[in-house]
Amino acid sequence: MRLNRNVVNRIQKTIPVLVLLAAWIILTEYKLVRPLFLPSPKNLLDAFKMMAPQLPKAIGISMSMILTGFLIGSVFGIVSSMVMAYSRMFLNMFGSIFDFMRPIPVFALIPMFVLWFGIGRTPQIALIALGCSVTMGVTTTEAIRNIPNIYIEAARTLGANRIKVFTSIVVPYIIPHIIGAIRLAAATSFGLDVAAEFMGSQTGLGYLMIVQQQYLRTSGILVIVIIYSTFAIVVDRLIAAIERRATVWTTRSGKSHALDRTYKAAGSRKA
Amino acid sequence: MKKISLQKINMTFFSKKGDVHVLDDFDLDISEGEFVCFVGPSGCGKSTLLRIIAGLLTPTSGDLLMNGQAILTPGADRAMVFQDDSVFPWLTVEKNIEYGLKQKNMSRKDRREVTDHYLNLVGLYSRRKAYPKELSGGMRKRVDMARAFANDPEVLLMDEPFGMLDAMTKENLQVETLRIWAETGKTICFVTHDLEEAIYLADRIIVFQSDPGKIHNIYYPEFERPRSVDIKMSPEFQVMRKELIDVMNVLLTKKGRDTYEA
Repeated sequence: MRLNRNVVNRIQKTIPVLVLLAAWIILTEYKLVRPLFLPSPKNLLDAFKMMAPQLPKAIGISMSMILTGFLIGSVFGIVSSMVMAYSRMFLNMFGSIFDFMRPIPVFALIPMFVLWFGIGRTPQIALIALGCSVTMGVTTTEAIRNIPNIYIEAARTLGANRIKVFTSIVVPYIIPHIIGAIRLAAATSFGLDVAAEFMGSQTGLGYLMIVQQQYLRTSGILVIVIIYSTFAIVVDRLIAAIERRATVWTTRSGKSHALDRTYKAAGSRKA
Repeated sequence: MKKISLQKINMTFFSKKGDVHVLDDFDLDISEGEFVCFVGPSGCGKSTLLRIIAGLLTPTSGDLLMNGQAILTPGADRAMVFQDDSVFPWLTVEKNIEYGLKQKNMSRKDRREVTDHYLNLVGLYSRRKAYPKELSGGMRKRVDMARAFANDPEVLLMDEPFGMLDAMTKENLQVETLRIWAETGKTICFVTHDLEEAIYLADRIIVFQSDPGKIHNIYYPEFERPRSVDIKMSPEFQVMRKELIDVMNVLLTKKGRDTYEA
């Protein structure tokens, strides 16, 4: 019997999730693992109820920090690499500095940031912004470097001047790469926020997490992890939706499996 | 009337591995409305010459005139069709064809009119909203040509435009090129490796020799126009083709390469 490919895909995707869920319930319900290491679903619900009053404020603070840092960083990263792509002079002046900064692990700078900006929101936002701007800057510069010469030459022979080549060739060519980078930067900024809040924060989700850790409340920690993840996933899905719209012209075709795709093409040729 | 005039053009590419002298005191005049083909062994500078005329390369020395005025930069008066795919993948077929017209700040209504005309001319009107990735290689080449012609350049520079296409598509596009050329009366410089293609299309075939690149020989295929593809089978056509193959073989043997396969 041959099942519809979509049905098979769905079954194959669901089974591992169900198995993991079942394992979690069995391990916790039968007390095979201590709740300190792995709390049960019920523990999580209790922890959530207990923290509920503090959550809206903490979420608000963390998300606004992430958003602020992400916006500042992305805009700076994109704008600076666009300027470097447009002007040889700027590339000469700042290109090597960017190349030098690229491999520095941003997390390693946390102590310096605390030293420079003190404790509070400023160093945290600055850290997120820096992480995002590096990600965005590197991707944008790389995308600009990879533009096939032929498009620029074609545009010039069709009468486009320097500014037009930039706005009508460089910019549309790199937009899919930029959106991909935004997705990456958004994911990075959640991680950076957690790390930033671990370092001397008095509010926010990360701070709440530290408090839970001090009282050995594993379930509380996990609830916060889930909250972070939920927001990260929602943001990722949103950007992915924009990405699909912006990349209609590229040959990348989202969901299907790469090997499958070519096999199917070979099959259809026979038919 | 003289459209393009090349006087004592020299082109040397300087590099650490050694300088390459590609064009040596190259002289050539091209008349208005002429169809000129450049053939020759690879590395003879025929593509370089085309890029110099396009303004994409600056010659090391020499004068380069169009309508008596020096060519310094690329411009909309000289459109280029490349061997590789140069259709902008992020624009639909009609937006691609419209591209040059937009650079000229033509009004939307006029753009529409010109674009539709060329869409019909290359038989892609029904696919005008498609993205290039949805088209075959031959269709993309048509878009490429329509984009170049729609911009109403005085000179068309075509650098082995059909080199990547299969024989049937290639022949169809040759026929279309001649048709559009007859309709618009443009001056065309056409680089090719395919001697049959050169004889079929050209008023004049410039045979290049290499190291350094200069004119070896000139042929005039004087077949009556409009030309049907059937002339490719005629004895006169084959005689000229044989002659050209022999010349090419001499040029290639001089370079110590294999014989010409065309």
